[in-house]
Amino acid sequence: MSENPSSRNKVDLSAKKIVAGWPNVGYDAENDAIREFYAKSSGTVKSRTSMFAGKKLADIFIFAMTLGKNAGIKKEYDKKSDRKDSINMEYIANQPEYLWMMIAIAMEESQGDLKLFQEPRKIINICEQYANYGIELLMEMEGQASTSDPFSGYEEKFTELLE
Amino acid sequence: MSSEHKERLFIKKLDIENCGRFYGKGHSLQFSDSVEKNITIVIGYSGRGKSTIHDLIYWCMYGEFKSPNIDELDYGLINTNAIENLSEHQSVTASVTLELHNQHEEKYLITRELTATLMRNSTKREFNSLNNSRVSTGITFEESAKLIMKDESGNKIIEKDKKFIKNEINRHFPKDLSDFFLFDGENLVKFKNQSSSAQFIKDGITKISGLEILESLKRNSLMTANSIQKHIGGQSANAKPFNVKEEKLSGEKKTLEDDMLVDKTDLKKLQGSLEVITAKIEKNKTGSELIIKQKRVESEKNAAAKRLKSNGNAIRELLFEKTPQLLIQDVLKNSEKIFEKLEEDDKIPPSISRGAIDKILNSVPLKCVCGRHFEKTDNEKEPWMVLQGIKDTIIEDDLSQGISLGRNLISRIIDTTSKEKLNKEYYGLLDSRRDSRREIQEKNIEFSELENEIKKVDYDDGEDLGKMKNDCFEKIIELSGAIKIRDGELEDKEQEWNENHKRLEEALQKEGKYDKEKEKILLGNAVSKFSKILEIQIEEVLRVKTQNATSDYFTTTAPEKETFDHVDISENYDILVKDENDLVAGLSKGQAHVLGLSYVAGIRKITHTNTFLIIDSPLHNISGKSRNEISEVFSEYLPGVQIVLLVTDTEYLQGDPLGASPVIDILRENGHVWKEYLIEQDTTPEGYQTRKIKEFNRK
Repeated sequence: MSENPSSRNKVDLSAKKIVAGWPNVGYDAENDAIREFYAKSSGTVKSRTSMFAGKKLADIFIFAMTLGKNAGIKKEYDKKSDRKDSINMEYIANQPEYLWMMIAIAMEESQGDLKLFQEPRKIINICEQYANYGIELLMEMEGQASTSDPFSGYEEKFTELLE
Repeated sequence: MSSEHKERLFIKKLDIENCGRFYGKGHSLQFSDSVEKNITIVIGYSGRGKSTIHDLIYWCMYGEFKSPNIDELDYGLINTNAIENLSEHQSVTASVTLELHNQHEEKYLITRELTATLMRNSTKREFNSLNNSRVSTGITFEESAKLIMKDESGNKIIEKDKKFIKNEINRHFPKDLSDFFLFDGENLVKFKNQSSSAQFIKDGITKISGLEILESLKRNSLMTANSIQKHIGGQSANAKPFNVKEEKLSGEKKTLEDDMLVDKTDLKKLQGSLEVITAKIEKNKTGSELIIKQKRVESEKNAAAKRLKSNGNAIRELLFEKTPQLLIQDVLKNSEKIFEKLEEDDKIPPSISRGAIDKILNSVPLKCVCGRHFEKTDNEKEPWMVLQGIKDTIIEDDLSQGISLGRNLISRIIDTTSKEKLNKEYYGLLDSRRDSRREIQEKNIEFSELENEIKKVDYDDGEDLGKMKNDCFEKIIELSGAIKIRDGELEDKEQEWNENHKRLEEALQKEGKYDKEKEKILLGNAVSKFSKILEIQIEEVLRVKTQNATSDYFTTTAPEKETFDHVDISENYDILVKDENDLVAGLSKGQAHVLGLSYVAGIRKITHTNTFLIIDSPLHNISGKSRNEISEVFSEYLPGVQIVLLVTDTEYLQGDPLGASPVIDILRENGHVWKEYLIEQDTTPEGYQTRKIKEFNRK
């Protein structure tokens, strides 16, 4: 994607302005498998074969969200306790594409309700629910990895999407 | 590491008394101070005391032993006859005196002594670190040092304070750099093999950078933070389970690390054996040709593997970036339509913005964009109230601008996820992945075929070298695979440890107490993190500098230098010589030796080391044509630098059946040799064995 640096800076800055004051994005930390997936596949420790080795929590969240949305299934996560780990929206706004993918999903869902921008919790809720279903699909894809073919699950999905 | 220009410093004279194999006084060596004739040669049979000279210079300068007596043998600094024949209350002193000069005058005269006194006869023996040997417990030792130098006013002063002497010597001859002026030639052999040279190079770079200080800062601050955390973690009910788990995981991690160390040591041994077997095969003409072919095949296979790896990364990045965008491509297209509709309904730009309305409402006098004047009123039909109403229904300026930019971004995402473009890119990458995989397979087959041919060769000594090589190679493959798996297990364990450690930290953060301890933990972690970042940065800069300096030297001095393009030192400190196609070039023993010498020259260059260079066993384990090649390099090595070569008599004075000429002939021919000494065996009037150093004169 080529664009000039000053227009990229504007996009970056505006994304940060938009998310100022937004709550964090949560994921289900009550579920050990999900918590470990987020922790193992990203962060400071590199995982050898993961698609997300060296990537960020935000990358996993967005991947999961788009998988959930593609499947058209939302899932509430367990809110019985406060064990909800979160990702600061600033990390998501660091990649304006991610922010606008979230907004696009919420806009479609609300049929263009601009009030969503005054109530970002609604945008986040929609995206979290899709991500909470999508993370299960993502874990399955990741699970198909073998040492010789670490991304076979992803390649299969990608080929399917290109057809 | 200082970048200032350093004065040329050299050893003028060395005096030894009662040290090592040198009994009594009068063992002296003078070294060349000439820029033209800069090489001094010391010749001796194996075991005659060449390495002793090398080690004594180190001891005199730093008061430490370069080669600690790890086996705790009875043979130490003070001459064995001198120390073993002491009568009660009698003393013997061993001393080394070094005259160090700059280009104008004597700079330092340094004498270090060790005196042994037999206080009482005792048959019990134990290791003594001052003498670096096992000695009778009835002997006491006292070490002293004396440095004669000029003070700032040019007056001669005598200093006996060991700390002062240490600092003064370190100022001009940093101990961390000593490997590069007091060099052990055995290290050159390591350059024949990447795995053995990598550690040597890493150690060198660590030493010259002062990284050891950073490393210990990093380790200590982290250890402090962890031990405080462990302490309060044990007291806090919230943190206790994580604390217990951390201890368990640390134990498991340690076991894995220990096992890994054993595996890596075994691998090194196997690689060493393979090297020895390969060297034997290379002595046979057919064997040597096959090995060269095999190295070429291996290099081509490695290049294909490198392409496969970079191709894999490109596929991964494409899947990572584009899959989410493809997954919601329809959503993105729908959102485009929704924004178009909002625009048509004047709810988003390019319609009027809230900022523009504020501008009208704040104008004095109040004036609309159409030019009509109006007043502030409560009448809902008048412009004042109409504009207020509009303002409440439209969005903020920042958001309007943000939406415009966001819409552009969505359009760009849709453009770049066009299936046609992605199909082309993705299947292109898959094709080249298939090609690389096929090439690797072909190279593996070619390699095995050559391996079979190597097995068929008849070797002179009747050994089945081909089979031995193949067995060794297979074991290496097997062990390398096991190491890779263990490496993964260790990585998983580290992840588990980190995850638990994070939970432990969170639990402690939730505690209402231990504020002071938490601050200390925070500080310790911050210092450790900072040191780590700095360490990586410094290491990287020095690695590249060392690589370039080594490359410059190697590509201008190596035998058959025209076949090489550059030297790479990888992030793992593997040193590789590449040809112009960036393929790894196989090196002969001689070329590998010169690579080692180039590394030494490179480090000296980047550290501006302008002192002497004493090399013990510079031709260690080298024979035939390779020895001639290295001798040629030595004859021109580091012009103007004082060089002292401690060589064996056979290699220096005689040729060998494999085609080596006497080194003396090659070195003398170029006229850089100043003087040659010979260490001879001698017997004292008391009947003790000793050594005698005399000038060697062979016409």
